[in-house]
Amino acid sequence: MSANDPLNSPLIPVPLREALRLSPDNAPLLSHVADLILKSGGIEEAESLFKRVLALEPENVPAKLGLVSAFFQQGKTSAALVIVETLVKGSPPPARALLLHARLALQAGETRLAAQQYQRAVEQDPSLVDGGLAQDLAAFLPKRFQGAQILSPKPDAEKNENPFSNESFLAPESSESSREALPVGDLPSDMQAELEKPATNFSDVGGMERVKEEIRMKIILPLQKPELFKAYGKKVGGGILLYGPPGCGKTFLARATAGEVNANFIAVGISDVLEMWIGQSEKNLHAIFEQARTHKPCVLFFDEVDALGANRTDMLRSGGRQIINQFLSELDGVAANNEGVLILAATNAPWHLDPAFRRPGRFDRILFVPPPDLPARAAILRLMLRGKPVADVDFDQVAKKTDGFSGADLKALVDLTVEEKLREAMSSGQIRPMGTKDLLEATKRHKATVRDWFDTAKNYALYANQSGLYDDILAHLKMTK
Amino acid sequence: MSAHLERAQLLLQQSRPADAEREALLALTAAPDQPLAHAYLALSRSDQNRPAEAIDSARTAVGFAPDSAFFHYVYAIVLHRADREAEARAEITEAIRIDPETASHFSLLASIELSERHWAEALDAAERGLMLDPQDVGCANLRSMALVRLGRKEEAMQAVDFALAREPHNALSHANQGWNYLHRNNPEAAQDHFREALRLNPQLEYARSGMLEALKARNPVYRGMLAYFLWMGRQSRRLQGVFVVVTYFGMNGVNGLASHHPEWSKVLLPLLIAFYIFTYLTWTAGTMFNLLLRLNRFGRYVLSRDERVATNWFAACLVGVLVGVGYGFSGREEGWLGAVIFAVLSIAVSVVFSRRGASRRWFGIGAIGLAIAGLAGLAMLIVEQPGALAILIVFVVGFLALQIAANFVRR
Repeated sequence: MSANDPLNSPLIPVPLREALRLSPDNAPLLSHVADLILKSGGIEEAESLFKRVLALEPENVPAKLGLVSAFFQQGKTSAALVIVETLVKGSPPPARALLLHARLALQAGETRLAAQQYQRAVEQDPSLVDGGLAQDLAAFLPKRFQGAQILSPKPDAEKNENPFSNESFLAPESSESSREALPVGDLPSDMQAELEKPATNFSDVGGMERVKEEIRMKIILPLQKPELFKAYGKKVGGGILLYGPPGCGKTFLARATAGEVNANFIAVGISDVLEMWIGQSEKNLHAIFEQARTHKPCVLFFDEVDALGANRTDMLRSGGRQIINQFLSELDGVAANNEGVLILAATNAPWHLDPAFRRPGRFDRILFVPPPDLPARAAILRLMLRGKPVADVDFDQVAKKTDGFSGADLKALVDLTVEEKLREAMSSGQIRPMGTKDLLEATKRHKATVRDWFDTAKNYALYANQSGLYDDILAHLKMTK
Repeated sequence: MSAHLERAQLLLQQSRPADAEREALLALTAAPDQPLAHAYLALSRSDQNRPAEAIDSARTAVGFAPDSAFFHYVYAIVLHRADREAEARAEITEAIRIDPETASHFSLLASIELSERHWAEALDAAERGLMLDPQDVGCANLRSMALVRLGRKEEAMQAVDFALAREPHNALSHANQGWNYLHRNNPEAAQDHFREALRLNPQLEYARSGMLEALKARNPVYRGMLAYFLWMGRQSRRLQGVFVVVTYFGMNGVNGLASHHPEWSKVLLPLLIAFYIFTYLTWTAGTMFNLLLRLNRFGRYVLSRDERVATNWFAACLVGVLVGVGYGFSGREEGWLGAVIFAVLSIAVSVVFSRRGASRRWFGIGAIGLAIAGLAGLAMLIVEQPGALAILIVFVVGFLALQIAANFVRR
């Protein structure tokens, strides 16, 4: 952010500035911030921010209205009028645009047009009644529009006293509060997760032989040799829970599993499921399972599964427990057949998962996905540098120097090396290949990020490992109790 | 409550503050003026040891809803964790004024009073909380902590027993009972409770640090030192100061007596040696016995990363002491000086690692300066460079300053 950047404005509360730093292209947030700045008197900054929103979402009506307000307050009436005129041509035109048009028209001396637009605005949204404006336009208004007291405005109508205050823009017609008022049953789930056919397979996954072998046995072979499993009366399906430090390839492995069996793949994140409306999250979850069942064979992958299946003793609200019950019932296939639906889940915090998920038939295989070992690191680096200009890279030497690095750390290492080489190429005008030295140099600037995870995991493995669930962690840390 | 806020709440309960912070920020992107999101942001940042940002967020939450007791309560929590007790007390008093019926407000007040060593006030606050909600585990535990510091150890144990009877799977109660056993000089029983507390909540630092003390207390020397530490911890600051001053002047008197009456040296010399060893141990026992614990198969895992680093530095100093003593015995007098310098540096290491945050940084800089002065003075003395004595005087003055600062600057 430069010094002139409106986001540096002291009118923006620090948390919002941070939120914008995290999510710089978040149009609703930018719009909110612009509203706040406008209310605090930062008209020019607000104008600039509304323009930014419109660059991201050219058809964003509240942002257009905000921009009109900013223009109006700076006396840029013609600029404001250009936008408002396009808005009022909409079908139906936004009520607030009509009100703004009335204001602008009155200022331009077009009282009849102003009265007409004001009348349309109030007919559409009675809460927009503006006593002052109505008084100015009294001569051209029917009697019922001439006084605010004739209509019954909302109790908080004083907030909308000034149509340019922008307060009103914060509550568009279909506000959240009106949605909240809907009975639960009125919210059917139209949730459709993205269905993929991944092109990656196990050959793209560096190392992790033990984990791959487990998945092969549990997921791939049952699909490839269903008759064998049928002969032994073993159902095809069930779940595997992958756990381990972040950035070690759990998601990639799940995708590769689907690619390996040429199955459909649905990746489910918490934002795909969790919603604030009561009962809606359960419906979303059911819809996702149904989608998987209708697209068999299908690998259903739940990322950050602890968010959907948190330990019920940690929960204060019963709402969260409902989704766990729903999840368990979907996994069990109580109301539908899960044959051919393979469920993978990943978590960084298996200790926060409700123990019910670990029962047979649910996530009955729990696999630790550790940071890659030495050969795996060399393999990952080879894969990552494939197709890039490299010369005589001693992958084993770099792998030795990156002990404890996760896959994500290795990616960061390669990125750092590439950036450095690009910088050199820009100054010298020549493309020079990356070598061992460059990669080793980058290891000095990036440290392994999984250390904190192991600090936490160590405690669970030491003190809460009565069932031997975390023996893999102890083995990885070379710890014996 | 939005899904992001619900998630943030759960993550805070699960002690996953970084994830909770992310969720709170996401909630704020949707609705920037939610005080609850700012409050969760404050708690998550406080959990990540970022007090300034936490206080800022908590203040914002209060600004959005100044008439809500909950946000004053959250503000008080983050101030309390930042060791700003007076402000924390003001905030929790305001929360109690708005909502005098919530037991957790009183448990926080009790915790603030405990930090200020106001044992009687802490007991009063905890008991007021228990009058509102006799099932409140926080108040029950804080009552027990206050009781033990008031010397009412039996009642303290009964208080936790009562809490455990109601809620046998409460990690905090088990940890508290472990500390009660330590106060009663029974590390074996303490270990059982700490183990159970850690089984229930492996991330509970209060239990881990208790387990560490219990393991070290298997050594009789450390058991004695721990009893002394816990006894001192129960005294008021004034009494602690009086004790240190009286002991210091008392031993100076003994020292004078020994030099004036050499015939008494058989009795006085061992007394003086024991005193100097005891004084050295009051500074270094924690780190020294942590170092010993690294030889224990289970004990080494109980140490935190920070404690392991401290023991590495301490071990380096001890090697320096041993080398110095070796040289001393071989007839080179500088060896004895070297041993003393490294022994002093081992104290500095213990002081540095007993602190956190900015305090540790400042003490760390002081310790590095001390090491440079001590080793430079020693080297100059060995090569007979002029000015060695002046540098060694700087070393001694620096060490005294470090000790005084360590006694008066908060951790």
